This record gives sequence, structure tokens and C-alpha cells, in this order.
Amino acid sequence: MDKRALVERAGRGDHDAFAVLATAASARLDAAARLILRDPELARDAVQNTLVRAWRDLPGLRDPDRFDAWLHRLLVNASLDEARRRRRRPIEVEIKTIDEPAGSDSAGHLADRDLVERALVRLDPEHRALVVLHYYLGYPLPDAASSLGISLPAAKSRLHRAMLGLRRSMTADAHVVPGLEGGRTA
Amino acid sequence: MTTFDRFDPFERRITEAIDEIAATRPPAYLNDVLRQTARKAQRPRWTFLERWLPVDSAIPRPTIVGRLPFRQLVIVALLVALAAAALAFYVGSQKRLPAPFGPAANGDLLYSAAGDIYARDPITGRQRPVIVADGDQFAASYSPNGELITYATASAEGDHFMVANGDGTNPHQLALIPSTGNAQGAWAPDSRSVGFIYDVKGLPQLSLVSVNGQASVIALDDIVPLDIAFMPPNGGRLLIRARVAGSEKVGLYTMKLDGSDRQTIVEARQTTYGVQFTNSGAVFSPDGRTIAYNGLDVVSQADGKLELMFRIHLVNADGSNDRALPGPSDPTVNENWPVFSPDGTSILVLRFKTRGDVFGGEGWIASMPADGSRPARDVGVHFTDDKSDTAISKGWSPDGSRILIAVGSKQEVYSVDPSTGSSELLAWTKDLPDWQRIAFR
Repeated sequence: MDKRALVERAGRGDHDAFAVLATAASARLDAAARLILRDPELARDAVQNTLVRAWRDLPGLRDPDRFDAWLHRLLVNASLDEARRRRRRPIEVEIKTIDEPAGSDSAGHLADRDLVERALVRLDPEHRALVVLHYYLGYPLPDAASSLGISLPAAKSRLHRAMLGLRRSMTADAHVVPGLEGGRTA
Repeated sequence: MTTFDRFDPFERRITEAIDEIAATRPPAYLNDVLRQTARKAQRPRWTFLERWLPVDSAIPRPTIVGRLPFRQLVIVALLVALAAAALAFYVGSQKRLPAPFGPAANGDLLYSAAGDIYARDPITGRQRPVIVADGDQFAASYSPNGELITYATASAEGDHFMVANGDGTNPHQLALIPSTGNAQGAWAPDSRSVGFIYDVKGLPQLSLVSVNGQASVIALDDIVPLDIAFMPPNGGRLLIRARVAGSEKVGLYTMKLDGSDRQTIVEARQTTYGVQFTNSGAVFSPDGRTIAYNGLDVVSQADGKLELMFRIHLVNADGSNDRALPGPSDPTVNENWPVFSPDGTSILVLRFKTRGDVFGGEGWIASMPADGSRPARDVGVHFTDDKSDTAISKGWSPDGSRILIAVGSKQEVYSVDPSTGSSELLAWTKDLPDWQRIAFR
């Protein structure tokens, strides 16, 4: 059964169809939430809230072909809600990778990954959300801005600041972590 | 992903690293979440389409007075005086109730908050708990005569649909609704029964349940019921939106309360908007002669493309003369979900524009004359929905002097003056209150 049919069936109350959709989307949702929140428990809460809301509101989704975009939008908003709700709680920064990458990996890739992880931690959730929408989920900036409820100029400005922050953090870290001097160029 | 095409090496580096960081598999907690969603109902549910719908039974009818001899006039006057005295005595000894449809005085506002149900005096602002119990109580609604309330309370078995006196006493269950599938409810005009559509063994079933618990199922062999409304003024017929069994075609039908004498009001059709929205939003006019619903018409856009857009349609209650009301001047604006004003002269509609590639965008309320003499004019504030949808609920006060608007995703409720469009945020509720209809003093 194609995805559109699954979304339509789920929108009419077919929970089995929803389970298929949720299972297919869950890995990416979980990864995106972890990237934004940098805390596995908060990410779990965000994904849970996203899927509960998706199930509840699915009958209101006008175009089944927009399911993924709609779901990702719910996820980003749920993640930011979690971040705001727990802002006073110390965040358990997850430095380990979410899952070990498969196959061989060069030292350069590992170095980059560690640098980016450390740099992401230093961004606030709103900036991370934009980075995740744009660079991980692959949304053009106007759509990412729309998902976050901000104007395109604001999104451009926020992304510029985020990238500047990442660049500075990575440069600084590369100079203090032995063996990573200079980082790696693409 | 598309950002790989960028030329900035740093951006490519970021993208590759993030992809590596994020590489993962379905989370272990997914089954727990799915068990949770399986116990929850989808929206819309407990939509009482006939909330505050008016009827002309409260409107005085003109009388024709011929010439009468003086003696007869005196006798008639005496009889009238006696009848008036008797009526006054009777009324004084009875509790006055509003007519089941049409304008009524504004009573209390019923709403749910933090899992309980409260009533609030709109004048004094005094609020009192009506239903306070374990679990989550929601979807509170008054009966048309303002005497009873209905609400739902969630449990692991499903949603218990309850009825109680207006003060919360004598709560008892009318139906146990499965947690999955759509569910609709509509009060009968006499406030003595509720019409339901909800899933039984996975199939939507239409039933009428009296407030004392007696239920009757209405068998519909070849159509699958989706929405329900009672026909004013006496509720002797039902308006059912239904899907033709085995297809995605959806039509509007009226029938007697036992399902007999079915008439097709709007022919079943299939649209790209799916079962959920095709021929949706049907409501009766106050006099029961007309039905307004969400039509889907082909509208030419500025770039010459033809788009299927929502437009308000009126159709006579016998299915004749289906016509579109004048739509908005901006062809990109949709118009749907009509609600007649209590006096029946206006129709409140939702206008919205979708945005980007997701279901969201800008929504607002507009009011149009029910005779279709001109397009709707905007009232109240615009809502730019930054989240999942443009879920906006709305309703008239019983006397027609206010409009309540709830923006679902923002959990905000506004009270709007329909004549000026001025609005105020009701900070005390996140739930669209149901306004009690009471008799005029």
C-alpha cells in the first residue's frame, strides 16, 4: 500500500495504518529530536507528544502527500516546547553518538562528527532546530522558517548566527583537542 | 539531501557530520507510544453541530384581524384576559425554558479546564465547578434547553459519554465510545435524546439514545454515516453526511428517525480532499428549510490554474436548488464551516489560506448575509498558525451578540463583537466554551 493510502486510512481512524507510518518515521523523528534537545529523555517525550498529536489531528490533514512535512513540523514544535518546559532543568548533555555509524569511518569523519556534536551543544534549541530542519531534514529555508513560525529574514539571520557559532566552536575545539588541529576541510 | 548541493564546504561538512550523528534506527520506546495512541481518539469528536442553531418558532407570526362587532370584541377581550391570567399563573408555576432553536438569552459558559468541567457567569465572572472527578473530563456541552449537560470522560475502555443535570448532579452514562475512530454527537431539539455516530466493531454506527439511557440503532445498509444533525424545528428528521459503502464518495441525506424515507440532498461525490472534507460542515438554517455546507468548487487562480477551493453552498432541505454563495474576492482564500446566527440572518464562516507545503497558514472569521446578497466581510482577528493546522472553532452566543472563536493549536479563545469585529482574549479558558441557552426574561 502506498504512503498516501496509508495516511488516508490513518486519518479515518485505522490505527494499524498509523503504526506503519509512525514506525517508518520514528527513527528520523527520534534523531531530529535528539539533535535539537541533546537529551535522550527529552527527545523521547518530544517524539511521544508528536506522535500522539499526529494521531489525534490526522483527520485534519488536508493533503496526505504533506504528511512528512506536517509531522516534522509537529516534531520541531514539540521539541521546542520540551526545551522551554525544561529550560530550568540541567540538560544531560549527550556526547556519545546516538548510534555508531555503520561501516568504516575515517579519522577525519570522526573528528568532524565530534566537533559538530560539541558545537551543537553550545547552540540554543531554537538555533539547533533551524539547523536540524535545514541541514538534517533538508527543508529549504523558507519552509524551515514557516515551520518555526518566523519570517524568512529572521530565519536567515538565525541560521547565519548558528553557522557562525558552529564555526567558532569547532575552530576553538579543534585547537584544544589533541590531534584535531585545524579540523578538516571538505 | 538537497543541501549537499551547496558550494560552501563548511556547510557540506556540517551536513555530513549531522547525518552521521543522527544515524539511528526506530527507537525502543515506539511500541509504548503506539499503545498510547491506540487508546486515544482522533479529532474531530463530540462535535455538536447544532449548538445554538435557531428556529423560527420563537418569531411571532403576523395575524390577520378582520372587522368584528363591538360585542364580540368585548367577549374576545375578556377571553384573552382570562387566558393571559391563566397563562401567567401557569408560567409562574413552571420553570421557563427557551425554545429549542432560535435566539435565546445568554446563560452560563461551560468549559473544561485541567480535566474538570466548570460553569462561568459571563456577567460577574464567577465560576463554579460542575464536574470534578478522577480522570479527564472534556467536550462539555449544554442541552438546547440549557437544563442538562453532556461531557465525555476518558478511560482505558474508551470515552464514557455522560449526561448530568446542569449543576452536575445525577451523572450517568449514555454511551461508551471506542477510543479510536471518529465520533459525533448531536442533541435532539427537545433535549430528550442524543444522536450518535461512533464505531462499533470497527464500523461507524448511527444510534439515538434517550437521556434515560434507552438506545435505538438506525440501520443504514448501503451508506456509512459520518456526521449527524437534527432538522429544525421539531427534529423529526435527521441530516446525515455519509460515505457510499465500498467507495470514497460522500453525500448528504435526510431521513426519518428510524432511517426510513431517505432523501438525497447532495449527490455523493469523491474529491481530492477525501472523505473527511467532501460535502462536510452541513447545518440547517433556523427555519429548517435550507442547509448550508462546505462545497468544493473549481476556482481560477491568478496564474490561470484551476484549483478546487472550499465555498459555502446552500441547498433547499428537499435537495433542490443547490447554489454557491458569493465567495471571497481573493481566489486563494478558502471559505467553509458555516454557522447560522441565532436569528438566521447571517452565516459565520471560516476563511483560510494554506501556506507552503504543510497544512497550516492564515485563518480568520467572516460573516455573510444568509440570503447570499453579498460576499462575507471579515470579523475579528486573523490567526497565523505556526503549528500543525488552522483548527479554528466558532459559535454564536444564544442572543447573537457575541461570537466565540477558539484557535486550537494556540489554545486561545476570543470573544468577538460581530457588528464591530473588535475582539478580546478570554484568558480564563483554553477550551471553546458552550453557551447555555436560557429563556428571555
